[in-house]
Amino acid sequence: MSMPAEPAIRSYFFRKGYVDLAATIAESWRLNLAAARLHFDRAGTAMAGQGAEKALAAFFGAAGISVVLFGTALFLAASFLHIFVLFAFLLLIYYAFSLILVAERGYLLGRGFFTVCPACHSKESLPVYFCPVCSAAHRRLIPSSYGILWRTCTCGNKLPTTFFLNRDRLQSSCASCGHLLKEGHFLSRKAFVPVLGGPSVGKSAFLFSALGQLLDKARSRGLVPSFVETRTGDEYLRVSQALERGDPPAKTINALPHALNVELAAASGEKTVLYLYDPAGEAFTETDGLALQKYQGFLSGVVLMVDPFAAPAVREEYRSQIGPVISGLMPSGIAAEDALGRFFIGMERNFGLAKGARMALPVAVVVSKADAFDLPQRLALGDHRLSTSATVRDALVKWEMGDIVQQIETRCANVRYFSCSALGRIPDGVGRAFEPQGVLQPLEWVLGASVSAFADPTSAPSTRRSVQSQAAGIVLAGLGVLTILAVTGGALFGLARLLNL
Amino acid sequence: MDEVFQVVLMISAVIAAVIAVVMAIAIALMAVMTIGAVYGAGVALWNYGNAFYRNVRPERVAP
Repeated sequence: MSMPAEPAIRSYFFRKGYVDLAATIAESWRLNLAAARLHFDRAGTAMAGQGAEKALAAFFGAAGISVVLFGTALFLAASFLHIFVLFAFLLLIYYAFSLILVAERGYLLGRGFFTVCPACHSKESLPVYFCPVCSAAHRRLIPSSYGILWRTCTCGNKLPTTFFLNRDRLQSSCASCGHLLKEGHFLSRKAFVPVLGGPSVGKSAFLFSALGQLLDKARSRGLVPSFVETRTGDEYLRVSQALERGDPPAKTINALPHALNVELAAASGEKTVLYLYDPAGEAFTETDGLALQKYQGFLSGVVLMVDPFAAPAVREEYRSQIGPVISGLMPSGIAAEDALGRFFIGMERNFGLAKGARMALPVAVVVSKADAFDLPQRLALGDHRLSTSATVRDALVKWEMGDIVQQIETRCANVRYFSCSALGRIPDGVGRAFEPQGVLQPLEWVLGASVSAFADPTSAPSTRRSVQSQAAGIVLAGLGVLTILAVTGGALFGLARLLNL
Repeated sequence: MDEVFQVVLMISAVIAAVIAVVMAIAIALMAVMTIGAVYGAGVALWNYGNAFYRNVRPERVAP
């Protein structure tokens, strides 16, 4: 399948050279035929004459035959030379841009850099780049027949074709949905963490409260956090201000969430971009809708929110106290095990999780609304010791939510239980700032597996992975270059043997 | 005997002259044809050069 033409000027040796060659052959053949015909006509006229005129007939006849014979031989020889020169340049250019392309792809692959659209969640090898002068869309801005390191747009503007010439500073958009992308979406390691759970379980409050504390923690660890997109920065600011006023976040209505992108830049220049997702709880009321949650195909970890008041056993236990605060508590409408079951079915159907297989990524099971009644004591709210996980797990089992525990521990190899209060109290409309508790630890633990700054200091596999992936990138790029050099060397050696050089 | 010899000599001379004329004509014809062939080759070369000059523009072009 041929690629659609790019709005750029293509190298002469890839198309125009052969068009010119064909035109040259066609025209020289036409001119030769016309010349031969003319000479044969003159020979015919001369033959009708007397004496010396007949000699002219011989002259023109011989000239006509020579034009055809020598002309054909000449254009065959010249065309061969012409093609040889064109091919030599074509191979040279092809070789040069293949070398750079393989090195670039190998480096990106090894470093784990890839592009994911925050809107449609498509994983793209290459976005669409726009010319800053004429806004023409370049769908394959890579080293190619349009240019090895730079290409010339049809407007005359020169555009870089590789990331190491700052190609990613050009304006770009997702090739699938057209959403505008930012520089941070390209050359960075990424961590994809959705907050899952049914409706009204407290996902948005958890995510924004945890994010606020995560930004502070990142700063304290020498990282510079920033929002990749203005719109998510504005959304974070708006929700944070509402939480400061004592207003809980509005209900999420988008079943397909827009990723909350936060870039964490280290002093070394290394960047990690967090993709945090807050899908509406309604997304988990049916399995079919989960196919659209494409980010599940490359998850770094999962935060699963469990509303204890969705469990009949808990509501029964607190029956006498729950009445006056039921509107503030807003128990979730669907059981956590149903949401979880649909999540696993979605992963099996759409994202390659084998039936019965266990996911290795970290899964934080977070029991929300742990500020209500005597739950802070029972769920060890605010106690960040490892033993809290067992306490929360035991509480879930006691509340007849053992199905969730069993389901998670059967399908996930790395599970830890947490409790949190995303708001710090049951919403009461008092207008006092919420004081979230226990929100940072689950997110920090999940991110620890993919962001070295948040890794558990007692085990530093992520740091090791980072170093390993850098080395792998260099090795892959090197292998690509060596492969091309080996193929070229082999071809030249074979040619030399063929020509007895 | 002398007369016979003279007749034979004349006939030989005539034949030699005819052969010489025919050879001269053949050589002249070959020379003319050779010049014509060279001229024709020159025309072919000129035609190719002309076609090359008019059609080959080694420049990068927009699609």
